[in-house]
Amino acid sequence: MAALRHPAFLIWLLVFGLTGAYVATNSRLVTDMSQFLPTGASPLQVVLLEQVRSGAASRLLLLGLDGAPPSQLATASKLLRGKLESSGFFDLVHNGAQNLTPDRQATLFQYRYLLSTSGDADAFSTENLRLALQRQLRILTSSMVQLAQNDVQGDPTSAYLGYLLGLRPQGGPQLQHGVWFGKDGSEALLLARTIAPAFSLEAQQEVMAYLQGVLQQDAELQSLRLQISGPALFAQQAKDIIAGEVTRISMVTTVLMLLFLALVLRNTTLVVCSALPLLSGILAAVAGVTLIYGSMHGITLAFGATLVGVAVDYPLHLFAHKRPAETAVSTLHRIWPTLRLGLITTVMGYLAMLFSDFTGLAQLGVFAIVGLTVAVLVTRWVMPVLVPDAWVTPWQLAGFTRVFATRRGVNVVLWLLSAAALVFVVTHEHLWENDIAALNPEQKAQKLLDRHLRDQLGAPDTRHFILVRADSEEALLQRCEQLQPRLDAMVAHQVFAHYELISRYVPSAATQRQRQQRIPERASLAQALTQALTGLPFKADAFGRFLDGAAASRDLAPLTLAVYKNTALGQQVDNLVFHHDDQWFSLVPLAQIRDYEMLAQGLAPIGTDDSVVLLDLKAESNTLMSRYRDRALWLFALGAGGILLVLVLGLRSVAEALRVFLPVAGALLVTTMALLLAGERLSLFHLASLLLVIGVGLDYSLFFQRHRAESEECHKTLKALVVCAITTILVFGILAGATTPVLHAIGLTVCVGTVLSFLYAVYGAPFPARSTHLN
Amino acid sequence: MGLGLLLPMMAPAADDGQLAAILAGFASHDTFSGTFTEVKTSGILARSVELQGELIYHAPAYLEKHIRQPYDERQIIDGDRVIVDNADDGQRRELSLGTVPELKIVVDSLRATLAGNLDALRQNYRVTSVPAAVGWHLRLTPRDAELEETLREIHIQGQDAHIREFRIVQTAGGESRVTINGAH
Repeated sequence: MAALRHPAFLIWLLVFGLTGAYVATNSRLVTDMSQFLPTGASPLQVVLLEQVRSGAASRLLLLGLDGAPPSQLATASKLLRGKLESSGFFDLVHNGAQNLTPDRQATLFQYRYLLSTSGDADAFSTENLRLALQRQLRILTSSMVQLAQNDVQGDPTSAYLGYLLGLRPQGGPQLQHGVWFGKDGSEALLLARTIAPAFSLEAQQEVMAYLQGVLQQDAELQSLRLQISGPALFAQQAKDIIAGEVTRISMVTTVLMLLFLALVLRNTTLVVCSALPLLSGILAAVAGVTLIYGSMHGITLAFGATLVGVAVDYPLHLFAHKRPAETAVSTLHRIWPTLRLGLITTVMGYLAMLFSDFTGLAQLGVFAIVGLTVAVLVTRWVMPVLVPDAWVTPWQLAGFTRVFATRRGVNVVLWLLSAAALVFVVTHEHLWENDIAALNPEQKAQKLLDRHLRDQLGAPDTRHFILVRADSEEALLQRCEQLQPRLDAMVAHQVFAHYELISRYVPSAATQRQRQQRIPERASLAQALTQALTGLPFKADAFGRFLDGAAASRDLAPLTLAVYKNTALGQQVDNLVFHHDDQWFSLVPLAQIRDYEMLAQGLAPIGTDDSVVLLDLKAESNTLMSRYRDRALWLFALGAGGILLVLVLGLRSVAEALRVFLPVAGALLVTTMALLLAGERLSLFHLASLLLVIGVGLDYSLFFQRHRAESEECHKTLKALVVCAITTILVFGILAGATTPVLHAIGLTVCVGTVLSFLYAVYGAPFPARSTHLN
Repeated sequence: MGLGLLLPMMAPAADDGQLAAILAGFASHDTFSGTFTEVKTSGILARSVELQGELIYHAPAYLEKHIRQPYDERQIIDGDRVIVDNADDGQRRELSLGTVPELKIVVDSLRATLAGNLDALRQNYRVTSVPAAVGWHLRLTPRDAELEETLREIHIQGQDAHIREFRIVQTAGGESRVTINGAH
C-alpha cells in the first residue's frame, strides 16, 4: 500500500514508536487516592487530613477469628499474633495478651509514684498509708489467689495498679483465656497495623494476600475463619471493584464500537484507521503526564481513556464530509478551520483544570489537552494519507436527516427548557455531593463487618475528636492535663461515655516533678509507715522495698512518651499524638457522644486560642470539598469565558460566536438539570465530565453552524454528527450502567450531555443565521 | 504445711478408676450451700487471719463466697463474670475472669471438681490422689509453668460427694485453708 510509504505516515510511525518506547520505560501508574483528595487549606487541616489518611488509625486492620471453641481460638489468636509479628508487614499486632515487656513493666513500676494520680493526694501521710494497708489486708485475705500484678510489699498504695487500670480501654473487648474476645465469646479479636500506608494500594494488596493465606500455613489454623476490615481494606476493595468494572466495560465497548464502525464504514482499513488518532492521543497523553508529573494516576488513565468520546469523532468528521470525487486531503482542507477551532475551544475548557489544587484533576487537564491535540494532529496529517481516494461514504441515514430537518419549533422548546434548567439548577438545594465516600463503590457487607468488629473492639467515635495543639511534647501534655477535669465533668454529666487522654499514659514533666516533691524522705516515710502499721497483722519489715522505691523516685528524671515506643500500648500513643513541623498535636477520642451542644459548650472557654478545638472530621472534609468545588467552579467559568473569547476571535463575529456557544451552554444546563432530576448530586467527577460534554458540544455546534447555508454540506455534517453521537452514547451509555459511583457519574453525564449537545447543535441556535435552511 | 510438701513423695501414682470414683459422686449434685472458715497465712503477715462466711454453688458455673467476718464482702463468679461487692465501703467491682488467669484456673478447679469432671480438671492440672485417713484427698499441680510461679498446688479433701477442705498453696509461701461445713 502506497500510503504506508508516505512521509507523513512514516513520521507518525517513528514518533508513535519513540513515544511508545518512552512510555513503556518511564511511565509509572500510581493508585494513591490522596491525589484526588483536597490537600487542606490551613496548616491545621493539612495535619488533620494527613493524620486521617496516613496516620496510625488508617493503617489499622481489625481481625476477627472464629470457627472453634474459645480455648482453641485463644491459642490460635496467640499463634496468629506471632506469625503476623514476624511477617514483616506489620509494625504492631495486638490481641489483648500481656502487652508490655518485662523491662518496660519494670520501668513503669520504677516510675509508679510519678505516673499515678495517687501521688496528687497526700498518699504518704500516716492516715492514708493506714487506709491503703487496711485495703491491702482485705484484698490479701479475701481473694482466693495472690495476683501477680499486685506487689503488696513494693507498692502498698497500689500506685502501679491504679496507673495500669487507668489505661485500660473502657468499653473495650473482654479478655478470655488472656486474649480479646467478642461479646458473645465466639470470636477472638486482633488488631494489626500495617507498615505500608493505607493509600498505598499496591503495598496493601500484598498485605491482604498474605492475610488471606496465613491461616493455610498452619495445621492448627486451617479450620478457622479470619475476617478482616479496616480503611486500607476498603480502599483496596474499592480499587478492585473499579478495576474489574473498567476492564469489563472497556472490553464490551471496544467490541461494540468496532462493530458499529464496521457497520457504518464497511471498510476494515478505515475501521482500524479511525482508531489511530485516539490511540496516538492516549499514548501521547500518557507520555505528557509522565513527563510533567513523573507518574500517572490510575484514575487519570481511566478517565482520560474516555476522551474516546471526542477523539473518535475527528476521523468520523473526515469520513462523513468526503465528497465522492474529492481526495481526503482536500476534504480535510475544507473542514480543518472548524476542526481546529473545535480543538482550541475544547483545550480552553481543560486549560482551567491545570490550575486545580488536586494533582489528580490537573493531571486530567494535561491528559485531555495533550491527547486531544495529538488526536487532531494525527487526523489532520496522517489520516488523509490512509483514506483511499476512491472511497465513498457508504452511510446515507436519509431517514435520520429527514427527521431532523422537519421538526421546526423545537428550537423554542429547547430554549424554554434551558431557561427552566437555569432556574432549576440555580435554586436547587442539594446540588453538590460533599461526601467523598459517596464516590466509592458500595461495600455493604464489608461495612457491616467493619461496624461489627469496631463494636466488639469498643473503638471510639470516628467522626468527632478533640484536638489539642502545643509547641512541644511537654506543653501538649500539660494542656491535656488541664483539659482532664473538664472531660471528667462532662462524663459525669453524661455528655459522652468515656474518653482517652494521652496525659494518662505519661503525665507532663511538670506534674511528675510536683509528685516527686510530695514524696517524703526515706526516714520520715519509714516513720509514717511504722505508725500506720500499728495494730495491723503485717510484719514490721515487710515494706522495705516500698520505702526504697519511694525514696529512689525522688531523684528520677521525668519519663517521656518514648517509654512506649515499639510497644502495643505505643500503638495507642501513636494514635493519640503526632507532630508536624514544630507543632505537637493530640487527638482525644470520645465515645458515645450523647449531647453535642453540651460538648461544644464545655470546651468553648478554652477554645479561644484554638489550642483546643472540637473536630467534626466529616464536616471538616466536607467544608474542604466545597471549598475546592467552589474554586473548580470559578475555573469552570473562567474556561467558559476563554472558550467564548476564542470563538469570537476565531469566527470574527460576536453573533457567530454566540450562535456556536449558546447551544453548548443550553445543553450543559439541561444536562445538569437531568442529572439532578435523576437523583444525582454533583461531584468533581461530574464537573470534569461536563468539561468533556463541552468539548463534544463545541465540535457539534461548530460543525453544524459552519455551513448552514450549503444544504449538501449541512446534510453531510448531520450524517457525521449522528454517527459521532451514536458512538459516544454507545461508550458512555455502557459506562453509565456501572455500579461504581465514579464511573456511573462519568458515564451518565457524558451520555446525557451528548444527546442534548446533539439536539442543541441541530435545533438550538438562538437566532437564524444569514440565509439558513436545511434542504 | 510441711506435711503438704512431703506428701508428693509419699503419694502412690493415682489410679484413674479411683479418681473417677471420687469425682463421680459430684456429678449428681447441681447445687450446694454451706458455711466456711478460712485461715490465711502469708509471708508478709506476722500472724494468720481467719475469715468466716457462706459458700453457694449452682451447676455449672455459679460460685458465691460471702465473707461475713471480719468484714462483709460478697464475691460472685458467674460464668466469665466476676463481681466483688464490698458492703463496708460500698464498692462494687466487676471484671472478666479471663483477665485474671491466676484466679480463673483456681475457680476452674473448684467448678470441675463440683461438676465431677475429671477431664476438665486434667486440662489445667496434674491430678493425683493422696492417701487419706478419712474419705479422699486430691492434689492438683498446675500444668502451666507460668502459673506455677504463683500457685504451687491445690489440695481438695472430702468424704463421699462432699468437699471438706480446700487448700491453696502459693509458690511464694503462704496459703489459704478453707474448711467447709455444708449440706447439699
